[in-house]
Amino acid sequence: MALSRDDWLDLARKVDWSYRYAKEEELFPETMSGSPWFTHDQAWADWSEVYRTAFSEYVRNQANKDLSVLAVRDALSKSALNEHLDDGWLQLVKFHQGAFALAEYAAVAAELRMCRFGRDSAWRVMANLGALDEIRHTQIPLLLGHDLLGLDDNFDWTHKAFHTNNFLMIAARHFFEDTFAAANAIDMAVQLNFVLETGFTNLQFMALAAMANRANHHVFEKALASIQTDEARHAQIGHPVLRTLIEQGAREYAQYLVDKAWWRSWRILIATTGTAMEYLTPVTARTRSFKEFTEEWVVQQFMRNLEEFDLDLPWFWDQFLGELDYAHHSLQLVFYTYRPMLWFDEPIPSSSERAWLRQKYPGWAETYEPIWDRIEEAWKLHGEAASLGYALPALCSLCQLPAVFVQPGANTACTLSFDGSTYLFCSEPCRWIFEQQSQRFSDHQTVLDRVLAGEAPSDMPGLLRWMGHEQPAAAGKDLRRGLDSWRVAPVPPA
Amino acid sequence: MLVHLYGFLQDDFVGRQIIVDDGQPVGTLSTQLQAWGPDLYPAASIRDAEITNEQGTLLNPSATILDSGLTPGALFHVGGARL
Repeated sequence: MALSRDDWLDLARKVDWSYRYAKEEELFPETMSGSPWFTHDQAWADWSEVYRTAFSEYVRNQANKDLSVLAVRDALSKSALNEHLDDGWLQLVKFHQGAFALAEYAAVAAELRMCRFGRDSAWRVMANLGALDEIRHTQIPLLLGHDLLGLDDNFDWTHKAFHTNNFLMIAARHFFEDTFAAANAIDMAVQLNFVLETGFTNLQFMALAAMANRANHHVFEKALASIQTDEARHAQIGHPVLRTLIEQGAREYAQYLVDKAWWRSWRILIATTGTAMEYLTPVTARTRSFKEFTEEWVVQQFMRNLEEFDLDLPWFWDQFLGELDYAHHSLQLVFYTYRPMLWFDEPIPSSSERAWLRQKYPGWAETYEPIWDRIEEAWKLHGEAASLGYALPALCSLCQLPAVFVQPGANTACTLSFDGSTYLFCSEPCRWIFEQQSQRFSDHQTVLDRVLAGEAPSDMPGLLRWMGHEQPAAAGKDLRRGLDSWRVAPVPPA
Repeated sequence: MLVHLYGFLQDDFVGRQIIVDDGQPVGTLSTQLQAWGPDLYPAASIRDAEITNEQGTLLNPSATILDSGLTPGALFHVGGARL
């Protein structure tokens, strides 16, 4: 007689041994498993996930999901529909692929760390499946990026970006390494699974998938939606870990991890999602603004999650809400004026895009539109060179992103003296995170620090090459105006 | 001595790093910051520029950068009426 699923499932996902030859604290050292350290019997024995999956079920489901994505890819490659994608949308895809493809591979190592050092067998089984998920989340973008190489050579940044010194990728790596690649199992479960994956990936994958559908990029839409179903499954690791921390009296530490990860996730999402949604997505493909998506899909869900655990809103909540109107618009101006440092192109907003921005952000016309007008005027009068920034932007010593004015007339930048040096931060929350673990962060150098130390070139062409950009081909340009003709003209013979 | 500072110009959208001689007058920071920025804010476009440190203290434009307490890595703001 065949066993029913309920009869065998716990044997497949939750079997813990009694250790006879080594102590529990030796098998699960605090450095790797996390703090505070509790015995399994004391704290972790009841660890359980909501949606239980066995390996055989996982393999069947994943095979079907891959077949579904590949079927769309095959169908569309025959009709060459990629060639009709919107120019701005292609830049968004290039941006997304470069920023995330190999970050997902870093997450493989992170999940495997939980697979070894997570404190309960069910947690370790879930993390094992999570690691397989993240391999898939690396391979799919690499495949789709390769497909798009025929349209644009810079799609090689899908694979290349993560290994470069590009300033955005340094920021991304700093975030990924702090949040999960160099974190212990407990910190990672709260920061990666509970905050980033439960809190924010809806925005990066589901909202973007909806836009991809309207932009007629159906293979990208299918891939994003497929990835998000994996995220939703392995993200549930975070809940029981957080619950255990709180039940065992570590509420204050749990709150710290949530606050820290929320701010760090927000900072990276402003850069990767906020700017791309609002400035690279064709107007016809937009349904909601980045602010509206964030309010509905991130803020509301996160508040419900915090209520479930009786945790407080992060102490910087009002600042976060205020930034929804400004931060990504300020950062977009940095991206545009420093576009040779990007691997994708950036536009000056068109009239229809400006109308959208005015409608969705009532303060945009007063604050940002005059700056875009001045950029257009400078280009008209003096050519492309007048629309570029030359002095390097100030970079935050924590998030590594430019210290933008996130509200008109209200500069949030601040400094901290530590161990004989002065560190610049874009905001109080970034400074607060640095202060909590100053030794962890203080040795990391921003791009500017490296220039000042002589480790990176101080001239702009040299610095751009150091970041991985061979000029002008492998660098961002104005999406609609391209480059001034002299930049691509052959050099006349002497 | 050459030092790096982070300047935040009124109506600009990002802070910018500039390299200065700490013996030069504070008053020169305004034009240098504008000149080092994109071509959106022509030099001397701010009239009677006021330069303040991170704490909001108004700095004496005649004092040297060194005497004004702006050490390497410090930030300053430039504000005032735009021409």
